[in-house]
This record gives sequence, C-alpha cells and structure tokens, in this order.
Amino acid sequence: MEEEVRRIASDILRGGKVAGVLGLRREHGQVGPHLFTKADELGSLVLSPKHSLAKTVVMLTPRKKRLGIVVRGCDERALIELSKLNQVTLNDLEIIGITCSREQAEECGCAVPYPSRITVGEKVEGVEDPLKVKLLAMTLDERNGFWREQLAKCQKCYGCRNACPICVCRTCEMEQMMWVPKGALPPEMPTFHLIKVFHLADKCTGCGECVAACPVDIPLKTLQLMLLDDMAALFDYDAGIDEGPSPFLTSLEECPIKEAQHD
Amino acid sequence: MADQFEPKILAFCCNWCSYAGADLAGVSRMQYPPNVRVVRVMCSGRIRPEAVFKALSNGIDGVLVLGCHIGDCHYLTGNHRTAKRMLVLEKLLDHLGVDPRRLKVDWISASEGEKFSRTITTFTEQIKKLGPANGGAHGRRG
Repeated sequence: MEEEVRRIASDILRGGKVAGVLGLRREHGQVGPHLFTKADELGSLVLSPKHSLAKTVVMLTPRKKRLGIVVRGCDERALIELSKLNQVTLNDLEIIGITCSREQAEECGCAVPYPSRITVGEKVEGVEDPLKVKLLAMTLDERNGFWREQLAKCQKCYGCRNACPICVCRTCEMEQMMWVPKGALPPEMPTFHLIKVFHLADKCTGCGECVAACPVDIPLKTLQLMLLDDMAALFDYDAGIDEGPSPFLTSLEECPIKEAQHD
Repeated sequence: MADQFEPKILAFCCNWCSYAGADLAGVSRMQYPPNVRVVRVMCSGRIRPEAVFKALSNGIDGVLVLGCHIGDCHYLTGNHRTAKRMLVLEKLLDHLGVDPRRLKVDWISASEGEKFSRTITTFTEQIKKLGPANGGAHGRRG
C-alpha cells in the first residue's frame, strides 16, 4: 500500500499537477508530517503511525499552488468540515485517499474507516466503539461516576484542543475566564471539557487525535461519538459528509423543528 | 430532609416573549414557587451551552430556557438555534450522567403569564423529586 501511495505521489509531482505532497515522513526513526516537493524524497513517505494531516494543511493555507495530501477517512471528513469553515479550499487539494485496515479500525473504534473517494486500498467494514456500547448500557449514575473519575484526571494541558484538526478558532472559549477560572486543577467539571465536546458536536470526524494527545487518557472521543449518533438521529446530519451551514448547531438557519421535540 | 429540599432554579427568559410572560404572571398576581431566579437575555438563542453547564456545576439544580414560540422570534430564527442546541445539550447531559430533565426548554409568549407560572410550578416539583444536583467535582452547593 505504501509503495502504491509513493508511486501516485511521484506521478502527480513529476506531472507538475501539484507543487508538493503532504504526507508522513520517517526520518532518524521518527515519523512526522512533511511536505514532499521532490519525487526522489518519496522513499521516506510512510503511512503509519496514524496522524491527521488536516491540521497541517490549514497551516499551509492560503497558497498559490495545488498540493497533494495523503488522507484517511477521518482526515477527509476533517478537510470537508474545515472547508465549510473556510480554512482550506478543497479544489486546491489533490486528495490521495487511503483506507484503514481492519486492525486500525478496531484500534480507533472507527465506524467509517475509509474516505469517500478511495485511491488506494480496500474498504473494510467499520466497528462500533466498545466504550460507547459499554457506556450506553450503564445507568445514569454509573455514567456520572465514570466521567467524574475520568475528568478528575485532567491536567488542563489543552492537548485535546491543540491536537484536534477541527479546533481552529483563534480565540478559544476554553480559555475564557468567564467559563474556566485560571489556576484550578482539575478544571471545573464538566464545563471545561464540555465546551470542546459541545462545540465539536456537529463537526467531529472521530479521528481520535484528542485521545492520542491526552496524557491521562480521557476518552473524550467516545463522548463525541455518542453525540454524532444523536446528531444523525435528531437532524439526519452527518459531520464531514453533509453539505450545509457550519457550524450546524449555532447557525441561525431555519431548521424543521417541532416545538414538541422538547417535551 | 428530602421533603425540605428547596431547589435552586435558573430561568433564562428572552426579552421579547418569556420575560414579558413572566411580567404578566407578576402583574396578574399569579402564584409560583420562589425557587426560580430569572435571568433576562435578549434572545434565547444567545444562551450558550456553557452557561447551562456552569450553572449546573455551581449549585443550580435545574435550568429553564424559555424563548418565543417557533416562528415568533423577534430575531426571526434565534429560537431555531435554541431548539437545535438545547436538544443536543440534553443528550450530552444524559451521556455525561446528568439527568437531562434538569434542563427544560419551553416556549412562552408575552401573553402566556399563566403558562409561565405553570411551567415554573411543574418544573420546581420535578426538580424537587430529582433531588439536588451534585455540583461537579468543584461544585458549590448552597
């Protein structure tokens, strides 16, 4: 799979279709994002470990030349959400969509481990997040206890926000004194985390970067996945797929809502 | 103890309908429990979910969000935003293990003083049954 991605990247680079290809590079035993501008560099392009390049491409925007980018399913959805927020221009990107393997899908608890347009790889079925299933089966009090324990570990490092490909606001509500007082650890439960979770309820692509970044392993993504299911059930809205005003929940667009829904 | 529990209830009322409805209830001398604290906002659509979490983790036992009826919003679609956001917020509270019944959204027009007093009364009864909200890891109760 790696070889094929390298070949496609090299083709579009040599063909002059793009000025560079954004991918992951292995160098000195470390893997990180890299903008490949020469075809002969591509030998060091790798696909794992999984890392979202959507945030990196925002840093490279705006630009004059087209770029290639290697994306997984979640990255592609992130790019769509970012384009709704005018952070990237999808027409300026040459997307190389790759699928995740069964093992990777299970590791992430990913329901859609493939992009909508697959360039390389075979589509595998998604899996349910096991923690989500477990939490939904719990009683209210058990869930409360679970999250209380989890959120109490928080060190307020803002890693979840910094790693999130969709968190692009310049002024973040999580830094507003009005909601989150300075100098208190753990931060007020649940306000601190819920600001992020709620703001991403209509945008999260389930990439799991927040969980990967968390030094104390708070499973915030699971909360996010539960809300994504609700968004689909309530409004028939799927983040990262559907067109429409963004942010969906805060837009003032009329929405077919019945008053009775709140009873 | 349980029957002595007097909940603290926060009611966000929009300036154009619900607050006027509350006013009408007042001038008409309608009775409703004194547990409610009213916060007047210009539109129910400006009530951030953060404000609801913040209230629930700082000693408030129930939050009411009251706005104009759908279609009657002074700002045309402000309450559509309320309706969308608060539905999801109810789900989020549920996922987090907070009883979603602690948050109630209702639509009260300026002429519905009676509905205002009825809403406050039934909501207060409901919160009394639910008991105190445990005010978060750092929450203050009082």
